[in-house]
Amino acid sequence: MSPTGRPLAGCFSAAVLLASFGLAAARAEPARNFAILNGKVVTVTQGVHANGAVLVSGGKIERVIPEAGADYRPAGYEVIDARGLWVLPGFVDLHSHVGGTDINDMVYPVNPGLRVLDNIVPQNPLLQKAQAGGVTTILFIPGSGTNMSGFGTLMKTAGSTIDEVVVRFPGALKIAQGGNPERRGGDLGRDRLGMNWLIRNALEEGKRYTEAWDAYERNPQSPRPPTNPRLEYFRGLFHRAYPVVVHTQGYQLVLATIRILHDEMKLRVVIDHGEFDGGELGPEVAARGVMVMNGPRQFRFDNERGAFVGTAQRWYEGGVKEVGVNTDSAVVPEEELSYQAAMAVRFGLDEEVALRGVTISGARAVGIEDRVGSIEAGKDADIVLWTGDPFDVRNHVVLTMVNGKVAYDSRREARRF
Amino acid sequence: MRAFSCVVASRAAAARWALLAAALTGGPAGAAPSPGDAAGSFVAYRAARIVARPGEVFEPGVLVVRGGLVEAVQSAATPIPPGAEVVDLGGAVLLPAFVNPLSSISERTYREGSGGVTSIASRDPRDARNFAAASAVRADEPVWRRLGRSGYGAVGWLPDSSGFIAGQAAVVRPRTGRDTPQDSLVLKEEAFLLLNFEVGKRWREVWQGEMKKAADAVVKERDEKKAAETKAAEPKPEEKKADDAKGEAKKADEKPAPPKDGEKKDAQPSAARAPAPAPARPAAPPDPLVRVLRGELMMFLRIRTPAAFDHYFRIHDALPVKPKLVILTPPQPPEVIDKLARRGQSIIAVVLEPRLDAFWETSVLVNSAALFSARGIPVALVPPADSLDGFEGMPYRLGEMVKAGLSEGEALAAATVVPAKILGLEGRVGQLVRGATASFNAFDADPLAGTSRLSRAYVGGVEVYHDDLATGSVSGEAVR
Amino acid sequence: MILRARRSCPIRAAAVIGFAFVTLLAAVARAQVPILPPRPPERVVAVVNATVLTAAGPPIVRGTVICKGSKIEQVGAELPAPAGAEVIDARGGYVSPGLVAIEAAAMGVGGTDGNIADSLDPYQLSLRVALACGITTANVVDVPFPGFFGEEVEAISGAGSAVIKLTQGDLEGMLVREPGLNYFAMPGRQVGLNLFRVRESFRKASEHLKALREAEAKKTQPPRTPPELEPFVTILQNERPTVVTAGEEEEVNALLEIQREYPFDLILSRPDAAFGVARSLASRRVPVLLKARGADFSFDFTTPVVDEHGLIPIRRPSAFWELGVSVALLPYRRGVSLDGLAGRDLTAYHLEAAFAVRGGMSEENALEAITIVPARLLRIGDRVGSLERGKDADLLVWNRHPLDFRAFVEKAFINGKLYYEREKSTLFRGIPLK
Repeated sequence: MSPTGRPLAGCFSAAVLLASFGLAAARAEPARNFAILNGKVVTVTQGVHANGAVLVSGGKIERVIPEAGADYRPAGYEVIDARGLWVLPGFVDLHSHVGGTDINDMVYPVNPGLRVLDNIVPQNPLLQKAQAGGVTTILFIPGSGTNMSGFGTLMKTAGSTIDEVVVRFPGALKIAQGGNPERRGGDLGRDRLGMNWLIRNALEEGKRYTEAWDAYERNPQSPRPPTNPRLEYFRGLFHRAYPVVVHTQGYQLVLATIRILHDEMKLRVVIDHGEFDGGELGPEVAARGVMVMNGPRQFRFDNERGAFVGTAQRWYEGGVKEVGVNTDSAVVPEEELSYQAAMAVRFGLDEEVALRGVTISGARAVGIEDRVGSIEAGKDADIVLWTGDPFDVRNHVVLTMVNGKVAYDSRREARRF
Repeated sequence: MRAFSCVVASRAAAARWALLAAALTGGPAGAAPSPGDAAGSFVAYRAARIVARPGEVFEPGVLVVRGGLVEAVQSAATPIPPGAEVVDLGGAVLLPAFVNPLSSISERTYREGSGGVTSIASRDPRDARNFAAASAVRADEPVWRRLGRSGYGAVGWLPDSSGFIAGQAAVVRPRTGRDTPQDSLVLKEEAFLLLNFEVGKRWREVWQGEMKKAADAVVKERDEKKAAETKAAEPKPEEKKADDAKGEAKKADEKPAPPKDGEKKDAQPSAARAPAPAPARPAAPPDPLVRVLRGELMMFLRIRTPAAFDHYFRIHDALPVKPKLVILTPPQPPEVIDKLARRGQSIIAVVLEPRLDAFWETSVLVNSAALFSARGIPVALVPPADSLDGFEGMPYRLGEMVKAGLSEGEALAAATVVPAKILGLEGRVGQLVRGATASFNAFDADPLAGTSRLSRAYVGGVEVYHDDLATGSVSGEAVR
Repeated sequence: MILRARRSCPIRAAAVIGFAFVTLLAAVARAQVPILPPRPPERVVAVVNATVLTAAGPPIVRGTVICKGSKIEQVGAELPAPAGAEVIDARGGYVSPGLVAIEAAAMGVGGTDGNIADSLDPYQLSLRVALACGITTANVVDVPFPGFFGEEVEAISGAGSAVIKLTQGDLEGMLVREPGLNYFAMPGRQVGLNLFRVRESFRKASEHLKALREAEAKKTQPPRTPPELEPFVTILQNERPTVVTAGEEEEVNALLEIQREYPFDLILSRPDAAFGVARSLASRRVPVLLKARGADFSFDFTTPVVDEHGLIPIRRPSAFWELGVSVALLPYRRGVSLDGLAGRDLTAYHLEAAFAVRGGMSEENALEAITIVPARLLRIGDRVGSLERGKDADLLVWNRHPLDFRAFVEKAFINGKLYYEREKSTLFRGIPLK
């Protein structure tokens, strides 16, 4: 199709220009106060308020008022009318490739030095659609072209500069245990023996680097170890400041993931696919406290029994009580995260578990539950207004607020989804 | 007496041992001579158990063979006919040699022939109806000799079983080493016509076209016959129709057209055997397809998928004359077996492989053979692979089928009397009854009960294979 | 082994003979059973206690659908079930017409060899799954189904198609009509030059058709149709509508021009960027086929979210419908995919309608877009597509409203026969329903 969005292209260039000249003008906009009134507030962690009010200031949720009353009008707050609407926290997707372009550099078998940070394209069309799907936080990770493709960024789907959108970098290390990084060339990494070696070897290297720097920091008089940008981010990884999210699926592969990454390397692990019959490892995964973001495949067809099996539900049955879903966007478009959750529910997952799965569970898995994942005072004002149950396909997003700014308002602009 | 220990009970047996020793030491490469000589020999084999046919067991028993044919099977208590040479097989279990309804075994494939014959797909609807397998048997090929070690005494054989009409199969037996150049290995020529049905427009058109032609021809014959009969019933002894003269039509009236049922070869007034009015013309070989529809030639039909059955029976139901079928098919889900069972009148028997298959609709392993049997359709089993190893594995597979729900009698029948019947050799092979060919196997234990070893194989009274289980040495025409 | 020695005993022999006689009698009796399965008798089925979505009017609460034989006898609120009828209690669930998929691929056919009718396979797993998800009639098109990762392929000119009912296990009653629709592919990017060639082909075909008709009238030998003209002659013979894929306004306008000059029944497929000509389509009564959603694997960072008409994919069906254009929804992917991606293939056809509702369509219209509208486009609207007296008894009993993401088909009837029951089929009975 012929591109006709010239104004938008203009926006891009402006943003790039501003960012590159380091002008803080775009960031200096004063935060506005909002009162979201008369909606059904689904906090996720603190119950549902049939007619609650949410006050937003300074980019954060200031207060949640459970029963505000129909005439409640706080002074100094712009009113966002949520009558007849549901008020939900923005969704969190831990497996996204649409934060920017260029996600797979596949010359080296492992690439721990790469980071998807500088290639973020804020406010790109795919993110704009994501906002209209109620998704406000994503873990933008590199692809699974190699066994270790780099470090990803936790970012918001709205914001005009990279600094504005970044929630935390590194968000997580991305490891692909198998099922894509198999090299065709005949060098190491053609099958699991080689791939596991690549992963373990790189991690061991990172571990030694971390230990060297830890020793130095305990004793600053000792000789300073060299800095290696390729290994620098391993330090936070081995300090468990952020997790490794793993592209892994199927029984054998998931088993390798939890044995190598959790048991042997003692990392925080998030299983970021877990499909096919990976769900049969529920008890082992649950026992280790490893979290699962299931998807994009939400069912498995059991050929022997001729039966459809819900993969998210299978994890839950196996004991993994916090199960999320993902899109692996743009395999599934980012805005359809709610549809992925709807499919998980359709195939058996409890709806409340699914709702937590796209909000607080994901936030907790990557350690940003203090900032996102529920409507609670003090958290980022990432709030979405829906026409009803977000999993009901017939409903849509009316308004999306990110960091206290309205990023999308279908009552004032064209529908994006 | 489990271990096979041969009791030397006669001079002949001693001679056998001597020659065996000679063979082991590189003696003359010749068939282990057995007391059974095709012409005129008279032997009584004593064994711990003889299964003459399903349901008929003698424990212990004696099998009396004269001239390569079974003379009697009796309990060991019954006195042995005088003059018979007694061979004591000790603790062996004797079974009739197995009968294989269809094989394409050849010199090329007998070692590693892959799958069984029921799943072979045909790409082209080629028409080889006049191909007679009997003429393609090369008796000197080693495969026919080696067949003797497989436990099979008769095989329905067609070298290429693909195509709309694959050809006329012949029943072939193993070579015994005592065959003269005049002896044919072919027990029966033109045992059956093998056809295949596949899904698709080409196939439908060929099937509809050819079957309709053949059916119309048969209808025409019958009409002419009926017309001639009514004419003959009138008091004028007029000339009869041409079909007497040229020997085209034998009167085997098959179809259940209710009013005319049951008529066999009529006694036509021999006075009315006037010369045919038609001018003499060279006899065209009778169309095998027409012979099938007349009921003179057996038809085997291979159909592989549930949908193919539905498409086939559409054509079948529209024919004015319908064939009776022996159906070759892979394992089928219960709903298909049910549909076929309701057509019991058209189906003479079903030929299957001894396989259990899982169908997701049932999520359990299905024993198609047991299901067909339960619905009253006789089952014949082909070996799981069309190779000698596959043939040899048959007893084990039969045992597996029994464990999975087939009765022992049905399992044995599926490898002996049912194939014999559909090959047109009932009473001649597949069972040890008076007048049948003395082709039988001696196992060291009940072959259907678990592990057993074939210790001896006989074809027409001649021992073609001998596995000395104690010493582990094998001998015989089949393995020389 | 059965251990039984032979003994002679008169009484035993008599018993054996007697038993054999009885067995023989039984065998003879069995032989009287006709070879063909008997035609099912005119059974009466009443589905009660349901909200009936007829696709021919507003929902009927506490409704009843009565079927007699293979047809719908009566539809109404709180009708009494006739005496002797088999009563099926929908327990407050929903009843809808069977869904009519305007396009399906790789379903119900076991390889094509010249046509579809001779290769129909009513046992195929993808057919069973599609039926279990509500599809009772489908126009199966001879295009490959690339599955989850592959790009969907447009039908080429002259592609084969057939309208089938998903009568699982029954070849009888499966084929409704072959061909289903004509397919024509507009030439590619260099619209100008290729358009000339297309026009020329239509012109020649039109003349050839005239010659054919004259020959028929005069009973003379008809001229042979050159193979390159065959697709065009078929289109102009207009025995069924022709589907043409044309996404851009330019293409659509060119097509409409050709159609004006050489009339035929046109169905326009995927006019995604051609909303500007929607009014022409409405006035010319050209129906459209639309997907209600975008596409997977779209890493398109340049195309703006909203097009020049302010439209996004989910809004297109309602936008066209509001301007009076007849809209049938296309499935997200034409085939049944079992590799695990949920809700993105033929099995989610009822949810495509839900996405159209998300985009602004009313629920009633959205349901029509997957039932009666496709039926009419396939020229079988007199037989299927809505629950009305005299139509085929193709209906679905759902546990929830069919556009609900938790809705499963509980029972599916085709021609009055119960072909699918969720609780008896292995497919979905293990799923805990919500």
